[in-house]
Amino acid sequence: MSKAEADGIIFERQNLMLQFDKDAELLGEIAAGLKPKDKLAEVTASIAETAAASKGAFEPRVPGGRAKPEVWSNWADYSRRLDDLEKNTKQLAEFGAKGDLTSVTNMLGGALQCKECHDVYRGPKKPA
Amino acid sequence: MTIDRLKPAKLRALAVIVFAGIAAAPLLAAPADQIRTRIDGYRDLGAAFKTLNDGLRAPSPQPAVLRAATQRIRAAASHQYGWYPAGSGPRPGVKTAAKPEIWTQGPRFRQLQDGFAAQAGALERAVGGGNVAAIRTAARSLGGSCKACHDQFRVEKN
Repeated sequence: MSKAEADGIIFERQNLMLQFDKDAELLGEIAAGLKPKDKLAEVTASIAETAAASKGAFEPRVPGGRAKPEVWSNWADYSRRLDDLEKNTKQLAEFGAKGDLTSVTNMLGGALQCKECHDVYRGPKKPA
Repeated sequence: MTIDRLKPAKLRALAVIVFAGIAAAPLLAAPADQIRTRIDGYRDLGAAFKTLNDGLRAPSPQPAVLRAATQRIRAAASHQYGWYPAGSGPRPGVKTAAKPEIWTQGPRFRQLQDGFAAQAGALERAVGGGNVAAIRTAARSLGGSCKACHDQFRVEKN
């Protein structure tokens, strides 16, 4: 694999995480009543799509970015977390498609375990 | 003092100042417009790249989707050379992720821009060839050229 291709894999992961960040922020604002819920279906669908793409992006054993080596040395645990994320966000998107904000809000903490995963598998931000 | 009482020479000088001010106004506004153009360009590029990758993850990638996304990427690869005019860098009160090194390390930045343009061309050829595995490889290499530039010349987002 060329360096450009390996960097491209890392770049894809970074983009997926930035997409999560952007969508989670909007969903949080909708759940808090700060934004109207007209984008509920769209944003929950986007979260589910990003979750579904995440495992494939981390499958190649290409270290780099902020991913810790434990992603691959503890692959059974890491991939289980991504499977859970995919399953839970699919459910989230189903509620979102129905406009069911109460169910989406009730699921939020359990479905998006971002911090729990970052605490174990994400390294610190690189100095500028 | 009223304008009526100004001597013709002073009146002419005043007219020059007023017209110079009017002429300069668009120039003063220009950096914000240039940054806006750059941000819009990258948003479109990012959206096209996402469309391409989403298309490649589909069970049966649709050539038309990949082609359309690639055309937008190729367009951005051409336009990017005009997105960094002098004076459009970071300064107080201006929000931009562009690092000042873009303007202080011009040749290196240009090299990375050329790298991106070359990878966009390679992607277009791969899409034309229709082999999904080759398109995927080309798309990843294109992403690698984005990352190479972001690592050096863009303020980290997260």
